[in-house]
Amino acid sequence: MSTLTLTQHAPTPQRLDLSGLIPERLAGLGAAQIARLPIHVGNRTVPLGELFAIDGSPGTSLVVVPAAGNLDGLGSGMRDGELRVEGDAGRRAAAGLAGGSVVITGDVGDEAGSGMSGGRLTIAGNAGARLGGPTTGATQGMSGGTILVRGSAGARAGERLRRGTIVIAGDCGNDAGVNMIAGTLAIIGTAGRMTGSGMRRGTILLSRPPASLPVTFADNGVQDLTFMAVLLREIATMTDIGPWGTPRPARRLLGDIADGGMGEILLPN
Amino acid sequence: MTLNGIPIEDTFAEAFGMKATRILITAIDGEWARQAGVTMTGFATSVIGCGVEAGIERELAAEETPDGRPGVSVLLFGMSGKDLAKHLERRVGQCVLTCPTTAVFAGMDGEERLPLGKNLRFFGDGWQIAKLIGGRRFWRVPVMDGEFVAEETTGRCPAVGGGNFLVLARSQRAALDACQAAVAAMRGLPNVIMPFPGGIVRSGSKVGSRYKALMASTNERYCPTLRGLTEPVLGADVGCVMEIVVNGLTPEDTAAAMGTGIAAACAGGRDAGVLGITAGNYGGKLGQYHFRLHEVAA
Repeated sequence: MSTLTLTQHAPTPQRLDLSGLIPERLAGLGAAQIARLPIHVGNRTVPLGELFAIDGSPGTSLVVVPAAGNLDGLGSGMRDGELRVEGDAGRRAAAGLAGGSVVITGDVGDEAGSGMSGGRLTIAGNAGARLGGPTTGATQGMSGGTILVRGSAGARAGERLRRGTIVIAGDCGNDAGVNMIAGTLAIIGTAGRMTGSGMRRGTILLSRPPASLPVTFADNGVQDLTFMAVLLREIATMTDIGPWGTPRPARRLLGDIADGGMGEILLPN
Repeated sequence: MTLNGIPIEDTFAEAFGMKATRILITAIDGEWARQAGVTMTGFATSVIGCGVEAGIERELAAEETPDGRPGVSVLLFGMSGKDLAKHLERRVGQCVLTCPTTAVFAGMDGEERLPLGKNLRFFGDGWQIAKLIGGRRFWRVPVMDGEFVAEETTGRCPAVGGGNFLVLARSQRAALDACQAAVAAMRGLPNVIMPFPGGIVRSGSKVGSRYKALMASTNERYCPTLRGLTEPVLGADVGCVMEIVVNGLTPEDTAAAMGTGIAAACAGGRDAGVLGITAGNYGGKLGQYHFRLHEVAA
């Protein structure tokens, strides 16, 4: 498997939009063509070769080594292949990801995995706000695939989540799973205020009570749910974190009653 | 060819192509998983009258199942994918959905899929919930003991039905003992079921009948009470014939099960009252698979 490595020479004061640099689009290009690809730096257009050292040959695997955390759109729209970011990524990392795997060894900015429809996003550090949420103007958030954040996530993680699984190993900001449509959001650390507000369907799995819940959740009592065994096993496979989280039987809260109440928050009993 | 002094006739078992599927049923304990499996595979001996042929393939330990509970794996065989789909849904709906604490999962991958929870979910009357976990879709249907979890679909594959051999014995007891030993040995193998009661058939049939309405009727040549009237294939000392029918996912599975079964049936030798092994051979009228006894028992 051939790997192309792009190593940023030095940080730029401007944010760089690298949303086109994905393995499937670079695969057919030679090193010289890649070096000539235009990158917008503020109001200038600069060849990629001036900003990055290019090593290896393009194929299914791409490695980006940023010099700062202001590279936006890394891996966005990817449908296949592997992208590894060795360091911090900027905003909209893996936005619209449809397949393949994106691994980020550092932190990511806001809107990571927004509008994702497939594939797998792994963030070793922390994530910003609106993880797996809708892209600007979209009516639904992530609609497939998996996101694993080993650190913590900001506010509104899983906003309007439609399908797929988001696992946050650390804490999570306020309004996690706000307006969730379906899908699964698991938070191993502590969730913030108003978790699950406006959710219609879907599952929010918590390992401890959140800072606060909307009053529009109904206590469904303690339930021993068979599907949780399947889900917890899958999360254990995804995370390699080991056993964690909501034990069975779990306390089940149904909500948001103001939006039909077919969603659920599962808590330790 | 003989095994422990018992002659193995140089003939072949005639089997035919079928469609098969596997499902995994889990429950709160092995007893209830088995109960669901036994119930859904009841009245599933022959496609002639039951729609499908089904049986419990084996019991599953908790660590082998998707939800970490004890279970059973069930194989169902039908003459067509459509038949199989119809009877799978009917049996899971009536016998597994209704059985306390159970859940049902796909037991087979593959491109060709059969609905499992896909339509049964409507029992939930709108309260059902879909969960996509690890690329597999599950339905959670609220029921009075909690939730019935059913995977949306299961796989389907081509298979072989009607592998068989006949045990010729001195008495009913001797035939039954040999057949029971054979079935016990065959149940240790994967990918096969013996769909008849206890795995054994006493009413081996031939294709057709003198009555137009019947597609199968008694195999008079092997009926000891007709000796002297019909084509003489039974020796004077044969007092009972019993048949073991085996359905397998592949010809290799069927052949392996037949070989294992024949060896076990002959293990006691002639002293146990077993006088010969032959097979249901319908002169090529029934199916495209021919399992030669001398090859499978070698």
